[in-house]
Amino acid sequence: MLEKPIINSSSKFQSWDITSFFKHSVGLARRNPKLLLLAIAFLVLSAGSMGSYNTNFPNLNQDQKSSNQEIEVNQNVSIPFNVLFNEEDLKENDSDKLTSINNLPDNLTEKNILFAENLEDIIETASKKIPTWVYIFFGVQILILSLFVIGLSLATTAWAQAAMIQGVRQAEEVDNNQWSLSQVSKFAISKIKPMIWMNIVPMIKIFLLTVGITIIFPVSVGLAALLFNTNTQLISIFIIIIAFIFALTFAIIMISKIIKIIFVRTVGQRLVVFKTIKANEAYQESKKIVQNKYGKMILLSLSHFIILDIILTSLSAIPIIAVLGTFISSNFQTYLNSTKDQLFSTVLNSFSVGWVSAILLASLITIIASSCVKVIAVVVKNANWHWATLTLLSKVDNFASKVNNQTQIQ
Amino acid sequence: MKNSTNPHSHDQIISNSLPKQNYASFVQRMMAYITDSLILGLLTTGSLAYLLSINNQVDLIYRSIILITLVFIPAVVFGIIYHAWFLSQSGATLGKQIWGVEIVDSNHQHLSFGMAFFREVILKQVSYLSLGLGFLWMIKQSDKQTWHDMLIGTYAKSTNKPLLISILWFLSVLVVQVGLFYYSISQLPVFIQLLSSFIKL
Repeated sequence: MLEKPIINSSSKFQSWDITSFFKHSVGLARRNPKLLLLAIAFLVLSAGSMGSYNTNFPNLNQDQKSSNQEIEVNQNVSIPFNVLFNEEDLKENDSDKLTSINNLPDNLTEKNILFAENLEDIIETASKKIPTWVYIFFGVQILILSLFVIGLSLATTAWAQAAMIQGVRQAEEVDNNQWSLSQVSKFAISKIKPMIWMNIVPMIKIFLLTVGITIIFPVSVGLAALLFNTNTQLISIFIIIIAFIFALTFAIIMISKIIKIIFVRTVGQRLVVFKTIKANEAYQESKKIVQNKYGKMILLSLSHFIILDIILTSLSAIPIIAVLGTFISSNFQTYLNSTKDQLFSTVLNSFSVGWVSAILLASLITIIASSCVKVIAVVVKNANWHWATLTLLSKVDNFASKVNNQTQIQ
Repeated sequence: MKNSTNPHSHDQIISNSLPKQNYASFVQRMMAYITDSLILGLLTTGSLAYLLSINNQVDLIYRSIILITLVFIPAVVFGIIYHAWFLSQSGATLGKQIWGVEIVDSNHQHLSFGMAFFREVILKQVSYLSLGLGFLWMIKQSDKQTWHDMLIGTYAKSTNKPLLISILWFLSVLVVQVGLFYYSISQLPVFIQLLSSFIKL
């Protein structure tokens, strides 16, 4: 079922040209500052949602990276304590201190046990005073509040996404900032329900596929080792290798499916906003439209990642990099001249009031610049996906109209 | 289906129809916000006073559980409903009423409960989480719209309430709040003593 209600002025995008997409998107953002407000709303309200529709595969690893960094930081924190309590560094006349340090854990444990026991008694006595209905009421409240918060965050994210899509659409149709933000916002409210569907269903599919990928390797290799446990070692290894190749193929297929789902969702979200159809219908239609266009879409995602996320974000970090570079270069010779023991204090001394102010100012400028870049990036990405969807739709509609003409002739 | 919006929308109609002095000023809205915070804060300060006036450690645990269950969680819900309900009923929360601020839509009508909820709970987050820039934005706007106003198409109208009455109301709320706070602070030494004796053991 392919309707043709959407494309009017937008049929200027008949071919998939990423450079042209970017040019038009930047122009649209410059002529329509209201889009920037929608982008801020989008960034603020949909933070934490699944990659949204600004599909960037490399971003999927960011959480993992940050958690790894956290672990590294935690490991580094323990280093000074190891240095502080290195027994070899303690002098012989400090034996009393050493003994007291060694006894410290025992004292602390005794105190802790006493404290815990007392706390347990107090909690027990207090809990006896509280009527049972309070606990039930508390449980019910927490449950209702959790459901409310989950529902609200889903609705909020859906609204922000729909508003951004509709905003770009309005900006394209009316242009020069002559469109109403409030009407876009009210229109987006009517699209909350299908947008929630578009966020949840693909996410469940992606989750299941990810689980499949995670368990396929250990299961296939383990099963192969278990079922074909032959005496000949060479055959066993061969079977395990075959199982591994099978699992790898399966994983590649699953990953490509995940990529397809992300793109189907990206186009599906726009169809939901453009048309008055159900989310499920939009998803199925999107599947047909996106078919065999994955390469182009991956290219667009990569260009977003490289241009908007890497290059522009790096440019916004120039102030802090410049100040830090100047600071290090102006003090580098002093650091080289200082001995190993003095190095730490030399570095600390080099932080004059002027330098600290300069670094703080540069950090502030970088934060502001990177926030601006993020906002602009959201508008450009959304506009690009808008043009992309229109291009895909124009092709499908041209094809559909050709088929209709042929049918009429016959 | 084409859902294009009218470029000469209601937003522009009202911005032309309301004289400039009829929009609530930044100071009026800020004071209304502070007054609302003080009114809603009465519950928190009262709870704090109740929590700090304990006689023993068992009382501390007992009162904490009671407060969390019966006061703090319902207070969150109350805070949400307070803004949305007052805006839908009279176009102004108590704080806004005191400072003569009224929220209307492009047709000079009060918002529905749903729209008021949407404005207060969801859209205001945009103004808050952008480090308050969304609120400050109104200073340079001729129609004094904040970001959340722009997103929902509302306007803050000034009802020209006498300043003296506003100040008197504000001071009354402030006195109650400060009184409760002072009482809480006066209970602090006993509270700290109980806590330290418990921790030292």
